[in-house]
Amino acid sequence: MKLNTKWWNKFSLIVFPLLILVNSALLVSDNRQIFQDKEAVMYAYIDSASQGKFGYGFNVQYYNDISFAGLEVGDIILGGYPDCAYGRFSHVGIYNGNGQVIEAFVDYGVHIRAIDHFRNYTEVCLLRVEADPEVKKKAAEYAADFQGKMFYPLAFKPGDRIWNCSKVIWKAYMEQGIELDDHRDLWISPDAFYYSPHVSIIREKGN
Amino acid sequence: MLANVLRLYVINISAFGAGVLSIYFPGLDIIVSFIYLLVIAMEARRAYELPLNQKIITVLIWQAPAIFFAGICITAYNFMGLYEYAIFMLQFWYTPLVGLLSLAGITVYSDKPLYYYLLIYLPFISCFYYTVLASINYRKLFHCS
Repeated sequence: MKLNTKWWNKFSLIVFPLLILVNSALLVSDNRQIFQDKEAVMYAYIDSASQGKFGYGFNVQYYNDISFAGLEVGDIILGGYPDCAYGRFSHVGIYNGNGQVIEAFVDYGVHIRAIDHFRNYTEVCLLRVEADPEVKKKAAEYAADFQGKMFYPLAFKPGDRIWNCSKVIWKAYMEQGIELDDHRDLWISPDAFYYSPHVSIIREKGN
Repeated sequence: MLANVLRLYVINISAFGAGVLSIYFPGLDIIVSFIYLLVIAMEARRAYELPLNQKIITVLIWQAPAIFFAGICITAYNFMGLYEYAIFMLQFWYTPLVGLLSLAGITVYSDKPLYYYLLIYLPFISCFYYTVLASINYRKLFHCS
């Protein structure tokens, strides 16, 4: 069998641009309202990029003295570094009891870790989701089930193989019937939890 | 050789875009990963006529950014403050393979998942994949005339 090399040479170069076009068209047609919403996360990214801000900001040597006393299973913990590209907060976790938090990081995937590292953020905030304690416990259990799953910063909301820190918590509460993203965006940023009408602030430190 | 390198960079960059967008459609990301592997295999075949040293140079130039960031991750050397971002850069470089990497969702060593180790060693696996496919004589292998 002879391979038509000329055809393959062209195919190799056009297949991915073609996929970009088709996927973009499908994604936009599926989410027209989000693309018209100037407060959508993607526009925040673009604005930040134009100001030279990328990613989660600068990891500075810092120690905040916030108290974690009185946290309940299912509470949300936000942390942020200066110059974060997607808002005041760059990271989020869900409290799992016993000083442990369920979160997602690039090198650990979805995992359970001690809450203490949230003291290293310049911005920190503890949120309480206004729901029955049993619902909050179920949300934390749901999040814990995804331990070891892959982290990818640009994880879209659909699917349960690829996660980022915000998606884990959003999905855990979504499964309990609580929508924490008021904008119903393509991605969810940690700031979305801060502004959700379903949460109250327990305490916060920073600007 | 230069044309081969340029083609590989164009493919990698466009596959990044296709890979990111495909995450929105669960399942399509896995298909994109397979298409990427197929396309790289076809590119390797293009290099079949090149001498081995040129094949190796081609693949090393193509994978140079990934080798650089994997080196930072492996040695934990904070070159120009890039240590913290190196694993992110590796993830972006291998976005076309995210679909397949996401299937490796088990913790293997030191609390870190299998995909983390795969990411770090993918530059070397990619070099091997390309060089081997560019060197195999398929006619001999399958006794084709």
